[in-house]
Amino acid sequence: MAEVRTYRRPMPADWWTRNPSYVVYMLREASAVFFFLYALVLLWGLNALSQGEAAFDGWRALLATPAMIAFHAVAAAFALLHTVTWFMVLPKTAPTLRLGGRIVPVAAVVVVGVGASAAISAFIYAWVAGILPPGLAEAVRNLVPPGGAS
Amino acid sequence: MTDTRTIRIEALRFNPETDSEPRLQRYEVPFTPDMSVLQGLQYIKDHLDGSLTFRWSCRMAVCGSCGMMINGRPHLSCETFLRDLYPGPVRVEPLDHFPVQRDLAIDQAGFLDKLAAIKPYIVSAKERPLSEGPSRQTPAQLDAYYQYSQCINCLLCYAACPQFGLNPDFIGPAALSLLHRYNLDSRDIGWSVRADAANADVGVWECTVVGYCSEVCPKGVDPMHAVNENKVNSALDYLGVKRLLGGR
Repeated sequence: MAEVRTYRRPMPADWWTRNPSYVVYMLREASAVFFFLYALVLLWGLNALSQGEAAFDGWRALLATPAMIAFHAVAAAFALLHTVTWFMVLPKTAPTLRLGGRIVPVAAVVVVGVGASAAISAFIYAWVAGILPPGLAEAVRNLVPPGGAS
Repeated sequence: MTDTRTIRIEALRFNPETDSEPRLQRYEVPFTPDMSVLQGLQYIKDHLDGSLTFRWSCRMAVCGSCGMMINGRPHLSCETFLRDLYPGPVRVEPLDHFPVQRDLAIDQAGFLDKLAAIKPYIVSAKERPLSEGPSRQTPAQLDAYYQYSQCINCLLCYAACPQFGLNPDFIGPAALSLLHRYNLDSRDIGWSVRADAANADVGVWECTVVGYCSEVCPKGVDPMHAVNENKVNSALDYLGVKRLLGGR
């Protein structure tokens, strides 16, 4: 059979702007860039810490500049977006979750996942900020050996 | 007829014998509330321009022939109604990411090769003589693959997949859903028969979880889930523990 002459329409560079589903996908993927940059900032801080108090204080002073605060606000927004969208695709990327023979609804997976993520984030924040409720703070002190994380 | 209104349909036209690239052609189409986009195109073909080329067969979302881009989104034109798109205009184009054969008809040859590559039939461990009668399945065994068996090869999921647009060699959502459908069938040997197709660079790993394929599927097949569940299988296979951990 003769080869059929066809026309292949090129995929435009802005293909992802033409559909809200693609926009969400690209934003989700773009969040990786901000995680990478945030990891670099943390590594920078760790390096500053190893070089002594003056260097570490310099790094902390830099974090308080408007540009760095703006970066962290954007990075936090992308982290939130990534968390929610990650749990939204989890029911599709993991094998079907069944409880007692019944398929667990997608919405339940998303709600439990985002809820657990929020609870753990809140706990770590309260721990670092020293505002854990007394009972919980006591339990954490018992778990973390002396000389470990304060 | 009292309920007749007029809507403009803009169709992408391409004649491989005379055109170097596609162009849009506009038609004013009278329609009644019960008319689908497909029926609008049939009106054009019958009354306005007999040269307009498009595929259809069943007119009831079963055959999978009439998929096209309608206002930039992949739809079956038989179950998309002109009344919902009024006042229009309605832009109809061939499915995205496929070579255009003529007007709204795309070249399906690439997909058919991929479909053949995933062995879309039951591969059993041994030949069963007819005298043994039918292979029975429990309702649970049927339920395991039923959803994926609903695929009608309409290719909307390919038009929804930017990864396929960027790499036409990607086996793609529908073929990988059907790979999953046969792997999950209790009468089939399962994973090992189709492992090469799933593990290939253009297999499951070409998927980046865009997820739009599952949104546009008119039959509720959920290709995104089929593809990504097989990333787990492919990873276990790579680590050499697929057989140990079982699963299909």
